[in-house]
Amino acid sequence: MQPRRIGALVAVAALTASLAACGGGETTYASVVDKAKGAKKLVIGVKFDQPALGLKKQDGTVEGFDVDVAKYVAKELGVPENAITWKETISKNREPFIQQGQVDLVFATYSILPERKEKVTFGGPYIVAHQDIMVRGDDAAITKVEDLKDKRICQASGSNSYKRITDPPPNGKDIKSQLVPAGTYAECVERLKGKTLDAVTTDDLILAGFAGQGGGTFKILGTPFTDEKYGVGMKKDDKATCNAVNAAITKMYQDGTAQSLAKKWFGSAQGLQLPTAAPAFEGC
Amino acid sequence: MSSSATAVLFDAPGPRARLRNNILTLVGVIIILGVAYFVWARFSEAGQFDSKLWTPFLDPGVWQGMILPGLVGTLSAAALSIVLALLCGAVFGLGRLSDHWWIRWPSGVVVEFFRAIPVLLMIFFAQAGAFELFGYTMPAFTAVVIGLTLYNGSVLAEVFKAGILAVPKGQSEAAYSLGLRKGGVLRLILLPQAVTAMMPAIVSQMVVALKDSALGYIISYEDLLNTGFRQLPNNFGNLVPAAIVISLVYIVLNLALTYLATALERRSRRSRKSTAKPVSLAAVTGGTSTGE
Repeated sequence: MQPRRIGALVAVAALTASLAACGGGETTYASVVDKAKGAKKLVIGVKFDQPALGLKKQDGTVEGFDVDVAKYVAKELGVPENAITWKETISKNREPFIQQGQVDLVFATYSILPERKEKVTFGGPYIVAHQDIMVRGDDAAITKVEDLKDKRICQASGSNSYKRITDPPPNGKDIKSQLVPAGTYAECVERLKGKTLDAVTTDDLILAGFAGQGGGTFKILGTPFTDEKYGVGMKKDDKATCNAVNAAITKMYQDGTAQSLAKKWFGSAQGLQLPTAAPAFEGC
Repeated sequence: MSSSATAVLFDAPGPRARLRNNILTLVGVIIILGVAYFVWARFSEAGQFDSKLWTPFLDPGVWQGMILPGLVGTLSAAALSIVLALLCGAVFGLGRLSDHWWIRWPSGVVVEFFRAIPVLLMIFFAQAGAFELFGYTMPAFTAVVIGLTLYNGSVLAEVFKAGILAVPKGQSEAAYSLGLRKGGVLRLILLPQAVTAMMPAIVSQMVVALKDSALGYIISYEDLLNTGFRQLPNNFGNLVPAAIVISLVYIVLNLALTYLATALERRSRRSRKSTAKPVSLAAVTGGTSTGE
């Protein structure tokens, strides 16, 4: 091959690469709130498999309390509903997705915990859930936490909720229950219905989603024994976004939207205490 | 002729043996029917056959909106990773048979390393690593394909190596005596025979790749198990029916994959005879065939 032809090929390759580099780059923003103002679009992480909180429907849309709160907050940040891209976040990948910038905000039953605060910044909480117990609707034998002694409770994979029952104080109640392993809470609920379990214990809002779906098959005892503060996850030290999110949540409670959303999604569940006022913020 | 040959192979059962065989068969059938009835009764008692739990599967919207997109996700990730894994397997398998230590050792290290890591971690670290090292947000599809390719490619490398070594030494010696070089011996003599020996193990590994694509859930990859077994039942409260339907889809997929691979191999072989013994996947992977 002639040197001139080689030179031409190299030039074409270099030109292509430089054009690709120029064309491919998206504008980078200092914070999510800047992106919302500038690009007028956001990628929001939610659960896709949690009834009444974040659930993907057969038409591809997502619905639930977390989703509606996310829509409200996004609107307050200047992003219309149709400009939101919904991305599934599961418990195992919320932090990596935030850190990698795959999602801008996460509304996914994301409890604010000290160890998580080291990796991400939390806005909110936008609601406080409480660990509670769900039993079959016709079960009168279990009315309080102590009644779980020698009863079969669900041990969902990746969840530590059962430890609040079985672990010794201060972390748990030291109640000797029989643990029955299951893959997901959906499986726990299925087993509860099939009478191979006596109770399922986790956040009351998660339980309410399943109870609402069961149409009276299940009841929540209404004996909460922990606080689970659901926050809005975002990149570490994005204080501008955190403050903007907190302002949006405050407004959501002041105008009654939060209360009506809670009633819409969890109102049908027996034994659930719905929020009336905005929870105390953690601070940015 | 055939009857006498059969008689040589084993003694035809006498009247008592035939009676015993019939009784054992009957007992076996009764046990199977009993287990089937027990399962059916328990499912029925738990209301698992209620029409409302099964009617969603008659809705085309459920298939179009949930099951089929997941199926496309599973098939696309599996198809690409199977092709790439076969290429990787061939390269590193032959690399492990190289006369040059500087090819043989690195090939061995790569194969042993990626064979030892669970697929789930490989998928997760493909995405996380790309971001940490290069600041690149890797799409879930790419990460799933990389994870599946590296693991299955490493296992297939051992399959290729074992398949080639399964061809009797006399074959290559005869080829060398005819003046063929190493490349020619490999291409014309060893590989055509080895493929026949390797086929069962390759098909098994293809099935593993297809099923392991479900591990993409760790980075929220939309596959059949994610859409059909996690999202769908939470819409309709029908976990067991969803599990049954999705299992049937997987069974059909794996049977189709096995049939396709076997048909392709049979077509390429036609009248070719092989002296190589079939390769056992358990022997290659140390008794396991999955990455998890």
